[in-house]
Amino acid sequence: MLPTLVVAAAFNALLGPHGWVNALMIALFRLSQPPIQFVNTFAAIIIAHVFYNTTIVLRLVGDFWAHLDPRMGQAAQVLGANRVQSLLRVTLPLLAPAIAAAALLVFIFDFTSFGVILVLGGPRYATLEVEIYNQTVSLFNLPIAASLALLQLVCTLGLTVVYTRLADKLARPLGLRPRRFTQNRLLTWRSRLLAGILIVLISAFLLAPLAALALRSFTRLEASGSSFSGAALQWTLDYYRELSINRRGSLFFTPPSIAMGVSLGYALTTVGLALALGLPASWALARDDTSRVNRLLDPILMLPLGTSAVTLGLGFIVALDRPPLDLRASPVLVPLAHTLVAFPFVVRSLVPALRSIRPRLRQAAAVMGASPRQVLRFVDLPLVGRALLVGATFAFTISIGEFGATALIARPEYPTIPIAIYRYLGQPGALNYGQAMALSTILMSITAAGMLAIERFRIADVGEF
Amino acid sequence: MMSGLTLQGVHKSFGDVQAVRDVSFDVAPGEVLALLGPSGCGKSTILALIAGLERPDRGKIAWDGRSLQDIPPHQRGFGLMFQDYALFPHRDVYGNIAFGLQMERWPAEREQDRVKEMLELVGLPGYGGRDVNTLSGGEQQRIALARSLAPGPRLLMLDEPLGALDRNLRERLISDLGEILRHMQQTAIYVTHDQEEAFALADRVAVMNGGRIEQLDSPQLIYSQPASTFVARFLGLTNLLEGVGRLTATGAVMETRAGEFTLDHPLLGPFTVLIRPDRVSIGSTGNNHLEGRLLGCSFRGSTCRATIEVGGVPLQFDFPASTPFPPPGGRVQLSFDPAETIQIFPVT
Repeated sequence: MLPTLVVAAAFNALLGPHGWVNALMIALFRLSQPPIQFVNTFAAIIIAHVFYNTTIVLRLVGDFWAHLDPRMGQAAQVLGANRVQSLLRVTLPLLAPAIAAAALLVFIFDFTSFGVILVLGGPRYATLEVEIYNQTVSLFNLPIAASLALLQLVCTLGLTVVYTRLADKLARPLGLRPRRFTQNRLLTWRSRLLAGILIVLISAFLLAPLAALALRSFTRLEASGSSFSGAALQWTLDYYRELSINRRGSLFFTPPSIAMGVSLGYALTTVGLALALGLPASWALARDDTSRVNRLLDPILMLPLGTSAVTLGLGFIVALDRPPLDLRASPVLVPLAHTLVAFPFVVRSLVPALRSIRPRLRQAAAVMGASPRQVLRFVDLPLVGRALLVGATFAFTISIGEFGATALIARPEYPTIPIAIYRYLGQPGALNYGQAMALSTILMSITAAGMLAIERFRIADVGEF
Repeated sequence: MMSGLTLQGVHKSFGDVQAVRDVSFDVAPGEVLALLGPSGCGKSTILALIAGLERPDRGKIAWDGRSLQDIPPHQRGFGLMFQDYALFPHRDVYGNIAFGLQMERWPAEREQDRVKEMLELVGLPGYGGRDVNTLSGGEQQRIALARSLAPGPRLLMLDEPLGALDRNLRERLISDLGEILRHMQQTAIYVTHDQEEAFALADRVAVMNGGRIEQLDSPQLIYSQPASTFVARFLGLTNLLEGVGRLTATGAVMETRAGEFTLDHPLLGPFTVLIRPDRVSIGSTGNNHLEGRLLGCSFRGSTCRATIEVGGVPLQFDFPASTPFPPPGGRVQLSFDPAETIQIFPVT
């Protein structure tokens, strides 16, 4: 869920030319050049995406596994299977749909990945997504951009359909059990040690870039390679201070503090729009999940999940460019696009909560004299309140970190935080670099706060995501 | 004009299942009617129809002679207490009880007084601030009752209100509930599968089977004169035998595998014969007596239920616990008055 630009900036902070590893090596071995060429390599793209998606796999497969009935494995063992056999013959086949679904989802996400590739990949590694962006923004070649987008769309839609099918299958046949039935205590020291090492390794991989980013935003790290005097390491708040200063007096410069305001405004508008649209849609979906309309509606509402953000942005530019709907200059355009991106998450948070309301409660209220509107107000709304909060937080966090669609449609004078980060990363100089780090750290904190809030508000034990 | 609730020829099907078939009855103001029957016999559906949560396929449901056809549930002014209570998990005890009052926009002060009064009525004063999710089953039951009584419904419907509770608690709550209903002179329909509850609480009992009412009478009449073999079986009267009515030189008799019974007036052809378990004594006095072999006795506190094989048929009888029995396998003479003990049903 981290914004792509934060991930890109984090890897830059760790392994980039001005990053920790290179700076330390320069200092230690008195090199004149950064020894590790990370940025603009294939490896950079892959590592960043593995980082990005490990959590998705952990979440999807882990969640499924955690709720798998342990008695299946026990039954296999009673029938004479040893631990390895039971894992291979029973647990893995049961997990297969979850693994496949996770793999597909990761594939879709990476297929449409944009920000990371744009920042870490450089010109040599232009994917479909980056190419659409270049054709649109740099070359203004809309026909080519559109045909590329069409290609992109067909691929992702196909994959999304396969994914929803798999997700359905995942939901159907197995009686998943609440966690307290499946929880397994680690009894032996060996298993505790193994689990401990694994957790440390994964956390290190996941946290190292983020820690590097946060630290980097507070340090002045001048690798003065020419004088061979080593690196000067200094704590500083300069980068944060600089965020509101227009040092170059540039006419087109918009201070990052404005970007923050713009992002906040967009995010709040997105929350409003996403809830206003998501609530009725979820309502319709939750009411009756057997009706044919809903069976059609469900995948359609999930479409934006599989659509690439850049394609979405391009679509907005192409579709809303002439009266009566000429919104290209309108400030609503960006929140509209964000709403579309956030929509599936909002619906997915609301539907289970709405479904969980027992019809009995509505009936009880009706018998006691509550009109349908009063039932909605006094029973349904209070009960879905937490889910609404989850949906709102999703919308907010997604909007504030969205880059792909925004890069295409945002007005240059109203940049969002990710756009500002991208601009700083593209400009030379330690100060710009530091400011990129500072802004990324701020964005990371906001997103982390959002995710923590979602975890706290979430009620259901077996989540849909 | 009929006052109170009237049902006339009400039908309701769900797909192929006929849940309610040609049901008619009325409930007079202040009366408590029990719908008694096994699960799936359509009792709860009748409540849903009366409450307006379901619509009847045919037939008429009326209050004070006016049809309820087009009146939505929230305008009927009835109360319904659900089997699983359906307490609102997001509201505390006070918020649950006050819900109906808030829907009717009672002034705040009257609302508070009413909730307090209701909590006292159900014996839980001071519970207003409690979280309903932490209450015990018996407390939830009382809160649900208080909630459905609070707005002063014209008709209170209770759907298996004691079903989920253990035996001791149930017995205590039966008497509490009866007192509350009588005290408030509450018109009520009480749905249950437990005859003890129905007999203890209701003025009249409707025994239901397969969506139909088999018998609607006072509890005493239902027990002393069950209208059908289904009712007899449901009440635990299980000594049912096939019999053939005949005329002999000595008079009219009913022949069964367990023996011959003399009849006051002649009946001819096949019948089902019920021998009541509690009107038989040991000994050979009187006209009618049976001889059998004692198979066993189960002690039930004040009585003893003896299984006695008569003519190859095991029959069950209740005797005072102090009755001197022969050892199992011994022979027993039973005497009885047919008018009190024997009931004859046409074969269905």
